[in-house]
Order: sequence, then C-alpha cells, then structure tokens
Amino acid sequence: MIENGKISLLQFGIAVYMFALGSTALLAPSIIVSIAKQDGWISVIFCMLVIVAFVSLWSRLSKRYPGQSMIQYGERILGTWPGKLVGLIYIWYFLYLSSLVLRNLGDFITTSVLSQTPIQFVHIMFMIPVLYGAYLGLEVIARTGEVLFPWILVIFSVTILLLLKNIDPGQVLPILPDGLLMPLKGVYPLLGFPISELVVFLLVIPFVKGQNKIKKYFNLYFLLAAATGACIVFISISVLGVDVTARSTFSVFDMAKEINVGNFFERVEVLVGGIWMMTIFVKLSICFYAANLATAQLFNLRSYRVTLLPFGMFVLALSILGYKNTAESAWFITTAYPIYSLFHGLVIPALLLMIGKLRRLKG
Amino acid sequence: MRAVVAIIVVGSAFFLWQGRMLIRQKRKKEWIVFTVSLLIAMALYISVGLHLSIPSPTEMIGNWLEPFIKPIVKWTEGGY
Repeated sequence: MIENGKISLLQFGIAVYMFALGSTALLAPSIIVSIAKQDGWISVIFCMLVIVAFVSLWSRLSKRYPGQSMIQYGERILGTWPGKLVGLIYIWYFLYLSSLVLRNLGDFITTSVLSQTPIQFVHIMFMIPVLYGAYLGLEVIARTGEVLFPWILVIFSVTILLLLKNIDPGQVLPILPDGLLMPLKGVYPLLGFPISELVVFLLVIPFVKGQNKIKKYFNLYFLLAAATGACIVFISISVLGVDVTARSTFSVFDMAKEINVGNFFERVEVLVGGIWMMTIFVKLSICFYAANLATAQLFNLRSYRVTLLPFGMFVLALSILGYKNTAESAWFITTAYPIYSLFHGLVIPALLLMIGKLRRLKG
Repeated sequence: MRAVVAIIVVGSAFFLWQGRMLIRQKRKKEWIVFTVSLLIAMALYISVGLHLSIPSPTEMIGNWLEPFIKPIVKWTEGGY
C-alpha cells in the first residue's frame, strides 16, 4: 500500500469543511457580490443544491469501486493509456490548484499583513510545513484539521459577535429585486471555486473508515461550509455594503477591520486572517498530498514521498507564474476557471461512471 | 541571477540527497520519476527566475476556453 493511514469520518468531514472554506471564503464574497449584488448570500444558498448533486455523483463513483482511488479505477475503466492520460490531467490539476491556493495566500499576506515582505519568501515559509504535513501523511493532515477546527469556529463566532453592532440589515435590502436571475448568475463562479475542486476527495475516500457513511458526512460538512459561506457573504454585505464588498479583494479581512469595542479593542483583523491561514493550510496540504499520491498510484511507485521535494519546487515556481495580479485572478475565477474546474470535477467523473456502467465494471 | 544560482544549488542538493538514496535502495522507477519531475521543476523555476516570457497557465487556459467564456461573460455581465 502506498498510504497506510486511515482517517475517521469526523476527520474526513472536517477536512471537507476546511477545504471548502479554504481560500474561497477570503476571495469569493467580493466575486459573488460583484455579480449578484446584495443577493450574493442567496447565490451561496442556491449552491447547496449543486453541492448535493456533485456529492451524489462522487459518492456513487467511490461506492462502485471501493478501496480504489479515481486514478486506479480510471485506468480500469478507460484502459491503460487513456486512464494514464486522465491520471496526468488530474496530477496537473492538483499541482495547479496547489499553486493557485499558495498564491492566494501570498497575495493576502503581502497586501494586507506583511506589505514589505517578498511574496516568494511567504510562499517558501508556508510551503515548508505543507511539505512536512504531506510527508507525514493523510492521518497527520486530517488530525491537524481536527485540531484547528475548533479554533476556526471560536474565532469566527467571536468575530460575528463583535461585528453585531456594525450589521445594518438595510444593506441587503431589497431582496431579489430582479427575481432569481441575479443570484443564479452568482452561482457560476462558485461551481469551479470551490465546488468542483472537492473532486480531490475521490483520492482520499479509500482511506476513510466507515465507507457506508461517507455520503452523509460529505454532504453534511460541505453544506455546513456553504452555510458558513452564506453567513460570511451576508455579514460582509451588511457591514461593508454592496459597493465596498464588491471592490475589496479580501472583503472578510476588511470587514474585521470594523471591529471596535470601547475604542481599545480594535485591529483584530489579523485573528480573522489567522482563520484563513488555517483553512488554506489544510486545503493546500490535501491538494499537494493528492498530487503526490496520484503520481505514486499512476506510476505504481512504492511510496508517494518520492515526488514531494520536486513537486514542492514546482508548486513554488508555478505560484509565481500563475497569474500577473489579483485583477487577472478575479477575471480568471469569474470566467474560465469554473469551466476548467468543472471538466475535472463533473465531466471526467460523470464519464467514468457512465463508461463503468456501460462496461458493467465493479470494484 | 542569484535566484537562479540558489535554485540550482537547492535542486542539486535534493538530487544528491534523495537521488543517491533511491539508487542505493535500487528503486530505479522511483529514481526516474524523481529525476524527471525535479528537472521539470528546476527548469520552470529557473525560467521564472530569469523572467523569461512564459505564458502563465491562467492566460493559456483563458485563451483555450475563450469560445466558451464569451457567452457566459455576456450572460453574467449582462443586465437583468
């Protein structure tokens, strides 16, 4: 076995939650609000239906081929060479996703927290624990998520409590002034970022204890993440207003800047930034780990650790090359990325399921 | 230029350390995958360090998907 670790259903659920929030909660509010305006939070609620459909597809696939990852049954379903090609497509996707997530974090740190620090330094510093986490394996990544999860909930709850006096529900009014079309338009970027990205869990599912409850936990924690996202977008709009939320790159961070209790408890936005560092750490670790695991499974290597250092270097280079600036990143997320990501998250898994059924293959 | 030297030094260190270990353990397939991926990573990092004009993946994917993007952008940016 390339990976001997096993994780519990709870650890799996927490990993799904943290992955789904990851960098999305930091970047998505402004993107959704720029499209759906004050109904942005309704877009996130609409997403829940899409999430249920995606999880249903992925669960069917993993149930049909138990104990195997997508790379392994892809080769069985499509044949050796087309299967290997699909494997390579996914390895590239996970590496590219890792580089985008790393770049999101680098942009956030260098624009909002450490403005004098070179972005490469931030990337290297963040990549070292990710490499170590991936080296130690899935169990350690899942346990890290389990340890960080309560902190995220506490900091998030405290932030909301401290922002209560700044919330102006009038900012989200009128609700649905132009019907359902605008919130539906807001769903489009979310299809790629993050919904389709969770296809990475098709590599993790074989290592979860209690396979028969995976769909339930996957749905539950993914929907919980969506509910948290809807809450974040709602609060962003009601604290900052539609225009500021749409214009701000990291609106959640800007929202936390509004916290001011008795003129002495202020500038706590770094705490909120801390939440995103935790979620991004888990997301990046899972993506990076999946890229290495997929490579080991594709080439039948004895260990997935062989490619850790080269892939670490590759992700660092790709994170710099990824995109020129945050404007290009926002353009990409709202236009091309959903299609690109849907190809990996929806088209290939659906094809695998259909071809597997036609060929009457089972695990 | 210093960045390029640093990449070559770090890459060579990785190669000497892990590559030697893999050869000693007679894991040929692992060694080949490791070497190829390290060479690709180093080449990419060096080209980033030298500021060569490589198109970013974002730009490339955006160009490939342009025919699909246009109607969607029109739809999302359009009015009610």
